[in-house]
Amino acid sequence: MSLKYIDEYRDAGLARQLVKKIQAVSKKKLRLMEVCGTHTMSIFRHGIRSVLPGGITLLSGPGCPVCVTAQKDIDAFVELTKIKDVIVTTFGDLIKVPGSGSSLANEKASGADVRIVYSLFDAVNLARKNKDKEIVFCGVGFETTIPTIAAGILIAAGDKIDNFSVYTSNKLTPPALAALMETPDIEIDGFILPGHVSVITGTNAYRDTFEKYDMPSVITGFEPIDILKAILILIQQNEEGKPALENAYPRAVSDQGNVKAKEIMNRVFEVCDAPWRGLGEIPFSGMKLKKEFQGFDAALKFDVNVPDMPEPKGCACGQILMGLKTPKECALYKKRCTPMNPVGPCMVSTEGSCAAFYRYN
Amino acid sequence: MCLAVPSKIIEINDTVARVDVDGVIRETCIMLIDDVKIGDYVIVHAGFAINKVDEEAALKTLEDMRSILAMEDRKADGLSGHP
Repeated sequence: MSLKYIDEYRDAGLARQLVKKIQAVSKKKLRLMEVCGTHTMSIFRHGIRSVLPGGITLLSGPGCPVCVTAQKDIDAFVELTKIKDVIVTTFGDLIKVPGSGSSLANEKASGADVRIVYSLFDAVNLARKNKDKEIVFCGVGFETTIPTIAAGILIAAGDKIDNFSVYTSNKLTPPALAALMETPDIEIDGFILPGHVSVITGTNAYRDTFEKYDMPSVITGFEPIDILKAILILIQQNEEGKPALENAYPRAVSDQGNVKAKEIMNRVFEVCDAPWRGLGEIPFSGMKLKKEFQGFDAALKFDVNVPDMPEPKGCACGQILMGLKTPKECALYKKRCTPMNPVGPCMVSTEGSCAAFYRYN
Repeated sequence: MCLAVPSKIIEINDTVARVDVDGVIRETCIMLIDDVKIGDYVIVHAGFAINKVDEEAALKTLEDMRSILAMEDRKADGLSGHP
């Protein structure tokens, strides 16, 4: 059996035609930013940079949830592992991210109970089966993940599982794009907007930011045809001087998004300010538990006090996430900072731009 | 990490479905989507189906792209007046 809509969206003939068209219309020097870790990976994996005109630069923005997690939150996750009878659960890519002193992987190696889960479902089931333990989930994610965390909490609430909680470090994409646009020295000529974040938010979620900044913006999927198409549209919009918000991924994304998932997300969470690595505190860019679900808030359930520590000296993750530097312009890249021994989160996550540069260059 | 490959629903049991991705069978929670049925293709994120794939839109995007690119080619070859 073939994979649905994979072969079609990897069609070599169509890709060649798109590249030809890109070469033909591209005149200006442009800096296009993707804001999704899976786009970062896909662009590298399919060698998309190598077929673009020299004037087109692709930047990786704040689209990898692990990479944008503030160091203080990483330190809090590490602290949670030190509490008696706590099992810390996390998605895999967070485990190696160094906090100011340690990482979840280090604590696990020293005997702490840290477990990688595939979904919130697994974390809730772990709580169901281990009534004598407290199960804490490290809630790191964008709009794609937040509804799954909300669903996990609703399941736990419905089944009266009171030994489950979440340390929330959720992030919302549109406010980060707006914050990025307000950053001095920023040079971006177009956004390749995330595919699956947009499945939830819908195209309309970006409309305010788009209208305020008139920034060419295209939502797209993860296959090479999807990405080439988005790049072509952004180049055309720039060349014609007609910025627009377009959806090049209509097979998955609608104007209004996944209404049911948003309803579940908003039943459990409410918008709050949130700290982002590199970008700092961004108003209304996070989601915290609503009052009626505070019993599931690990930050309230446990006494986790971590001081504000500076980010690692010399690490340029913050500037890289804003497109102000490329990984190669970081003094630590490939020297003190490698995937085996990462200093910053962009080198840890497989979706981080430094790890991707390291692997594919 | 987003999994871009659509998964086919092969069995539904309340809020949990079994999905097939090229022969690999997994369980996925379907409480975030409505009106899902056996045979639908869904996008799965971290164990949860987050949307159905719109098959009509998937095919239309490809068709539109092919026809626009083909038109451009004809223009480039000076044949635009001969549909």
